[in-house]
Amino acid sequence: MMDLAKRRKIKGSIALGLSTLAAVSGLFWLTFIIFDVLRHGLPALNLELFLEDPAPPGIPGGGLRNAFVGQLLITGVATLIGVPLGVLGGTFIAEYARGTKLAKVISILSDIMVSVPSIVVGTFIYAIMVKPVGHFSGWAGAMALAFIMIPVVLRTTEDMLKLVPWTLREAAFALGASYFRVIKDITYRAAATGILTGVILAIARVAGETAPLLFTSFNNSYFTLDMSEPMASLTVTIFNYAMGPYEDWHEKAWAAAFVITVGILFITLLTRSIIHWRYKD
Amino acid sequence: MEEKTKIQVKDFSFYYAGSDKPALKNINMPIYENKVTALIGPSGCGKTTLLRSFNRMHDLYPGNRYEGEILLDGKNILTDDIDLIDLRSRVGMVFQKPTPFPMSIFDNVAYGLRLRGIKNKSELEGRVEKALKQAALWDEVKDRLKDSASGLSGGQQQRLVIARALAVEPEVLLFDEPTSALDPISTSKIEELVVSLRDSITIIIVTHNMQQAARVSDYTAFMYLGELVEFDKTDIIFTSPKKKLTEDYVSGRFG
Amino acid sequence: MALLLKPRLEEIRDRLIKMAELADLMIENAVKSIIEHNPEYLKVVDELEPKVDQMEIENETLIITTIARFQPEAKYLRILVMDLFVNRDLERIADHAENIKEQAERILTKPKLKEYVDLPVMTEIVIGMVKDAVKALETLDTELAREVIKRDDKVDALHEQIIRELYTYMVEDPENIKVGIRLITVSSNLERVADIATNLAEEVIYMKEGKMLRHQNLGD
Repeated sequence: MMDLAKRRKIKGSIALGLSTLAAVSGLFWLTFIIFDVLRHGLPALNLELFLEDPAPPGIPGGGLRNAFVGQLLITGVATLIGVPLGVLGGTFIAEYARGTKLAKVISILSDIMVSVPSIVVGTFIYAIMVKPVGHFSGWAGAMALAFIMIPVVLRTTEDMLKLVPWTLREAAFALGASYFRVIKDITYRAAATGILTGVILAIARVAGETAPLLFTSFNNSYFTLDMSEPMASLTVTIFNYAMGPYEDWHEKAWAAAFVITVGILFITLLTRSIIHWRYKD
Repeated sequence: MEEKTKIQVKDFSFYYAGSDKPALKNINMPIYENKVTALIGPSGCGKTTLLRSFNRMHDLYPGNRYEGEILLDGKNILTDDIDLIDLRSRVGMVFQKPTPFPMSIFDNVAYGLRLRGIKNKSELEGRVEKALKQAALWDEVKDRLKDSASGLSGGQQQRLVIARALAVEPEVLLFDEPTSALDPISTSKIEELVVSLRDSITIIIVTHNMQQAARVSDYTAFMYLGELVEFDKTDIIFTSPKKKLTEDYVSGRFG
Repeated sequence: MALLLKPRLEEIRDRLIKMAELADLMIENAVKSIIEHNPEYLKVVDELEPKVDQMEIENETLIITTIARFQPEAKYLRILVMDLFVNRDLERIADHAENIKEQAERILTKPKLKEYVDLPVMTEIVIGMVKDAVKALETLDTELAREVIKRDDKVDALHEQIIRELYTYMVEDPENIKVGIRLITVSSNLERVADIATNLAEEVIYMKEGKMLRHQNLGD
């Protein structure tokens, strides 16, 4: 008996040791990356970065205004397309089609979509929106990001709506509400925080995507607000500048990486504070 | 003392979707106006199924099938042409777990009124206050009507839900084990409330707690395996029931 | 629960008080017919007797269903069980009135034996005891109940006094024996009513204090 207890104790400490090691190594690399971005990015930050367009290659100075604006435009349009579609789709499978085969099929397909490599989405949009037109465009970039967002938002919406107790809906039905009113007044309200969290996380996720944009919006050295032209984005710019031969480009890539990291960090913190604020009482 | 029949259940059977076996078999019983009728019986006896037939909650799930008639004021409510929204404003329901909506206390009580298109602010305020007073909750919440309903205690939430149901002035109120999630003090408050509401509303209550049925009801129906075994005055069911099965159940010999 | 139970308890109490009033009225009228040598008063007894019997059954059902439905504990259990005893006691008082009435019917066929002196006094005390016992029940006044119990001795003494007096009448003239024995029976019935009033008072004390006083001497 003593032996058994001893063995159990040893097994326990081995498991504890291994998981601590894993956690520490994960944390190490994470802090290492963030620290590195901070170390290289912070000194390269200046006002021109946000206010000026890039100088010709090899000439120092200039900024990345075109990439910042392009990134905001592409992500913004993607959100406008992806969020309503995702939320409505999630509502359909969680409410109207609850329990049906169709709902199950859509749900499983969405799960697959979530895990499809984003470069595949990029090439798909390239095939249907870039190739036929003959040139890259901001619209195509936004569409690619929207495609990545839709299944994420759809699945979160579905999960969050399913978490709303069924009796809450019954209570509203019992007062004589129609299904539309029940969804609008009761379940959306009850699931609002969860859905909002899903939306913000989906935005954070696509904001860091590079691969799909390479095939769709590509890049543009000039400032533009026209979505039907190729458009610069932070992620593609980082990719190009980091690969480029100039020291000045490398610095700018670090600065852009720093800004995008801080941006995503900010979005994540916002989400957490929303969750915290909602569930506090 | 002749009672007035509010609801008459006639040769009523009920089948759940995909089942050939009836969950309720040929039920016949009256529900008397402005009385409390308790439905008791062991789990799975069909008491909740019967309760949910009175406001046709079963319609939410396709494939469920009613047979026979349930007459509300003489009119069958099981026909296809019945307006469910109208039926459900005449027959309200309170559930097992408190179901406050994710909105303020005021909006919760006003919800059913707004569904019916009442927008006038002073009318809403008047009816919300009246309903909260009827539900014996007004004094506890009158200073925080704008607060979220989720901040109330379980017992208060259940009284809020009752107020919400009362606001639309139903003729019949269905209670589905309204105190099974509550502590003893909240439970007795709800029981007192049920008895006080009887003056103006016909009440049907399903309860697992036999003593609760004994305390609050005027009439008791004992159900077993989907059938109505005995229906009588509560005084008689709990002292000298006519059927042996009822006697055994009430004496705690099974169930 | 108390809030739901209380109206039932009040209803039971009100009914018992009403029943006590009727039983009192029966005793009063039965004895009055003898004292005033007038059979008119017996009609009241005949009229009330089925009413009291009916009330006893109704009250009993009401009390039993209340116990069954509310499953009371402690104070409420004591009250309800005692209510059941009180109900039975009051019915027995009515029975005694009925007995007195039967004696009276026979007594009234003969001329009046004497002017009664002790009988009206005894009747007044006995009725007073029942009335006060019921008053004590109404307010759960244990002081009054204890005072009622003390009055029982006086009734016993009066009963002895009446028997002794009637003895002399019967010894004097055997013609008086027929009426004399019946009058003694009347007195015995009154004495029993006083005992019942004592019981009622003891039941009130048990309701309020949970103390069983029966078969004990209060003086101890």
